[in-house]
Amino acid sequence: MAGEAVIIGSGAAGSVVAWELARNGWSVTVLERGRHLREGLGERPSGELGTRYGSDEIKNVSRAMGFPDGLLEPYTTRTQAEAADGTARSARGALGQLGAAVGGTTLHYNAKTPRFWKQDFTQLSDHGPVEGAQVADWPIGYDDLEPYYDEVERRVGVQGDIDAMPSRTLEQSPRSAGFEMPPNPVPYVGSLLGEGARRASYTTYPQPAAVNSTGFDGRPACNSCGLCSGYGCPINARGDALVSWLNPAVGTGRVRVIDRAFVHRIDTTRKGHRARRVRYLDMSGREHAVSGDIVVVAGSPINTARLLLLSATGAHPDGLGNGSGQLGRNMMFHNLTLAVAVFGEDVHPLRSQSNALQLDDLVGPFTGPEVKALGVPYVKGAMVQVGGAMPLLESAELYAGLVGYGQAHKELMKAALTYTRIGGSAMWHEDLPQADNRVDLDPEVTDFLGIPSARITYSPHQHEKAAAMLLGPRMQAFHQLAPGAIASAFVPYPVISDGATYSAHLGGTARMGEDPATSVCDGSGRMHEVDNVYVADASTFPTFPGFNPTLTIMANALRIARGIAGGSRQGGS
Amino acid sequence: MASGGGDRWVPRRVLLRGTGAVAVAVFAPLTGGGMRQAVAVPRGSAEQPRYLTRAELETLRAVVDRIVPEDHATPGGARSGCAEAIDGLLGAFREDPPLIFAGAPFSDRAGSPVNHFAEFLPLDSYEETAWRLRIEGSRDRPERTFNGPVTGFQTIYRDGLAALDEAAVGGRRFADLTAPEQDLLLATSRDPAVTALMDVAVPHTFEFQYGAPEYGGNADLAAWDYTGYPGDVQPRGWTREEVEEPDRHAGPVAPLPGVVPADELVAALALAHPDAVRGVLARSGGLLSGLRGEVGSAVAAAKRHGAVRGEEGGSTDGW
Ligand SMILES: Cc1cc2nc3c(=O)[nH]c(=O)nc-3n(C[C@H](O)[C@H](O)[C@H](O)COP(=O)(O)OP(=O)(O)OC[C@H]3O[C@@H](n4cnc5c(N)ncnc54)[C@H](O)[C@@H]3O)c2cc1C
Ligand code: SF4
Repeated sequence: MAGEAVIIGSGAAGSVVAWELARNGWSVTVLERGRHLREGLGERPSGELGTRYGSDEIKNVSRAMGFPDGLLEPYTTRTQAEAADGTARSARGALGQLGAAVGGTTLHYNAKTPRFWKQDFTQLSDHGPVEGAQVADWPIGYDDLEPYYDEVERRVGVQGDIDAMPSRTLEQSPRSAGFEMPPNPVPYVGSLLGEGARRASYTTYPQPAAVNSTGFDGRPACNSCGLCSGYGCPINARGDALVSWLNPAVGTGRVRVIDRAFVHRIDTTRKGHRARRVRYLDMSGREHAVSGDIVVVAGSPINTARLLLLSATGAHPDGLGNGSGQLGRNMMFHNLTLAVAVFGEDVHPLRSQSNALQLDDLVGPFTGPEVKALGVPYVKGAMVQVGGAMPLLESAELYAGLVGYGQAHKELMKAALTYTRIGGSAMWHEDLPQADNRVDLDPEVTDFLGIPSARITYSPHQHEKAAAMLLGPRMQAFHQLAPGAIASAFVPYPVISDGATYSAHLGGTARMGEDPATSVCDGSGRMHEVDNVYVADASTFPTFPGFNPTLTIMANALRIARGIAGGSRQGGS
Repeated sequence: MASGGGDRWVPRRVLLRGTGAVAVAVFAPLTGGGMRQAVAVPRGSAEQPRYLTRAELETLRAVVDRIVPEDHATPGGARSGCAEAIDGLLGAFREDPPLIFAGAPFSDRAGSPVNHFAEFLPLDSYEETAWRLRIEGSRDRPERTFNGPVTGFQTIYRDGLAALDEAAVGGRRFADLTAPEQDLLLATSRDPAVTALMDVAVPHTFEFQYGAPEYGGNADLAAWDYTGYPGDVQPRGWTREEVEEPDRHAGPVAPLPGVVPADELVAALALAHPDAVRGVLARSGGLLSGLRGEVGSAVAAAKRHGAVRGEEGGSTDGW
């Protein structure tokens, strides 16, 4: 039966839920602390929405339009060792922040959409526990998600080439069909790195991406402009939460989106079994409330944990639905190991939708003696995104870190290396869940409305360090083997820093599981302890396999929303 | 808007020469034919700065010219307009809309007949609050001191520029010193006002030197010329052929610039990944000292782990 829902957050997770509920007749209020950036929402087809985005490095990178402001809404951070010493925080600012806008972070994401693998859902059963980590099986498997993957890919418009995918990838993430569109042109530098990979007996293939390679959904094909990851697409060639889900949802007339709504509390009934209303502050600090039959939290892991912790009551003294003590814990960031090849000639690496290729040979798990020697039972790495380069202003900032300023800096800028002579790769590696990697409320620091900030305590596990040291050299090796490469390097972040590298891939903090004693939500996304509150974002992920998470976030959100609405597949029975 | 055929591509340099000067097209008001006027000219002039005094602007011009020095062939920060652009940021709220976010979606450098960048975007109250706080500081206002006082860019520049003039002994001001004297003073000053100034002035100068000219720097697109950077390429983008089989300049391999040891440079290039660098920027707080710490520790760790290789696969000697 259709009811009324309040959704907190309009990103990948929230927009999918809004669409699915609206489609089934629900009335939906979406509360979003960010701003409307796409004029015409709900009034025009997605191909005709306005935009505030352009290929402008100052606006997108230096001034981070569409992201929360580090002064007005800081996070604070510290390492596990600092927490053990009683250090309240060691940094404050725009740390690990995802975006804040109607449409969430997907307005300026890179739109890479690999699937998770079968093996990712049964890690504890398959490989046993890891000391110092809380590895867990998922309460669902790949098969439960597969139909939703299909459906999401069709709606956002995913490009790819099933014939180029390695057999293990297809075994681990079976597909019932090919892709909506053929891949983008592969950049020249991608062909060089692909050849290097082949010489190392690895396989690269076009990474699936929610990027139009042909006209789709009334939106044009990508023209490989290169200022992609971190930039809103100026020509509207990427599928995202807003164009693919929220705009059509609002178009039904049953969804309203309230922007600049800073949600700070979910109020519950006296015994705490049901949410009564959601409270938010507007820009001037005035308080508002919205109620509904159900509340769906979709703020992304740090914000979702913060909101549930802020919603503590007598019945929920440690945060809403936190009887297990797991709320806020198991905060996972993909860790980062990078590699680069330097070429002797101009290989034009910036002419590409950011990093065009995917390589799955380093996903693992690896279990040989060299792994045991690193002090862990197994290593799971990740897919590698192959073919990165960087535009000019970001290069200037990087070189400032290397040489400061002055003539040396200018000589580096004139050499034009970062957008002519390099091809880089990134491995976003699996981060094991740890009890001590957690989000809680900072005891002093607040946002501009006076609400306590999220504080993140984080250090990588030995597993992540081992993965970086084992797999970094393998990444470097295939870069060095690329035709024309004159030098190569790798940078293993987990062994460089005991803190977070703040990748934009976030998981954990409200894990789902069957046992209320060890998890926050059940397999349907509903909180074990609050009957009508669901968590729809990656907070529920029990582990965080090494693949860009957003396709899985959307597929899982669709699964959760369909469970709520009791509906069926679009066009299905 | 889809990528066109190869014949439609006109390299920016050709455009530059063909139209006389792109910078004129950017800053002169556009007229006629229903085109919007390019209203916001984001820089004051040497005679009439937006926020700083004329004397302060002169000192700032000397500073930005040490950050990006002029050399025989290419302009430095001063001639590129960086000082006036920084002054434009400090006085951003004297314009409506404020000079914070350039317009969208296209400049007129790659096929759009209209330069949308030239008209800045209106801010909403969140964005205005954030940027006023950053520029003006908390000024003891209770609604701005929720996490303690914030020193704004205006104060950092005022105090830092004054400290530089004071430090220039012998009755001279900073701008009167020779370039080597200026470099020495900047490198050796222990004055916290000078350190705070350089922490923000260095990233700001790079923004305006190398970013879109609508923000007031990068005059005549000279910085995009001497770096061989194509600039913003929308809506034209790149054709399939330009992506898959681009023209390359075969010939002798250009040596890596010798201003830093090659292994450090190559390790730093591994960080040249669009998503990785965002983490670097976030952790650095956008400050020069933060960037030095971030990049320095990554490069040192890569060296420590033997993670850099030259052509022969072994050492990096003799590159
Ligand atoms: C530069 C960049 C590149 C990326 N590239 C990729 C990629 O290629 N592939 C991929 O899979 N992922 C990528 N990501 C990550 C991707 O953007 C996220 O995984 C995804 O957006 C998460 O979806 P979400 O709905 O959980 O959160 P979001 O999309 O961040 O949406 C959450 C929304 O909730 C709002 N919100 C939070 N708390 C509150 C509150 N209390 N009150 C009101 N509103 C609130 C936020 O403002 C935000 O708009 C990238 C991210 C970045 C920054
Ligand atoms: S590379 Fe393609 S998808 Fe990315 S911003 Fe440019 S046109 Fe848009």
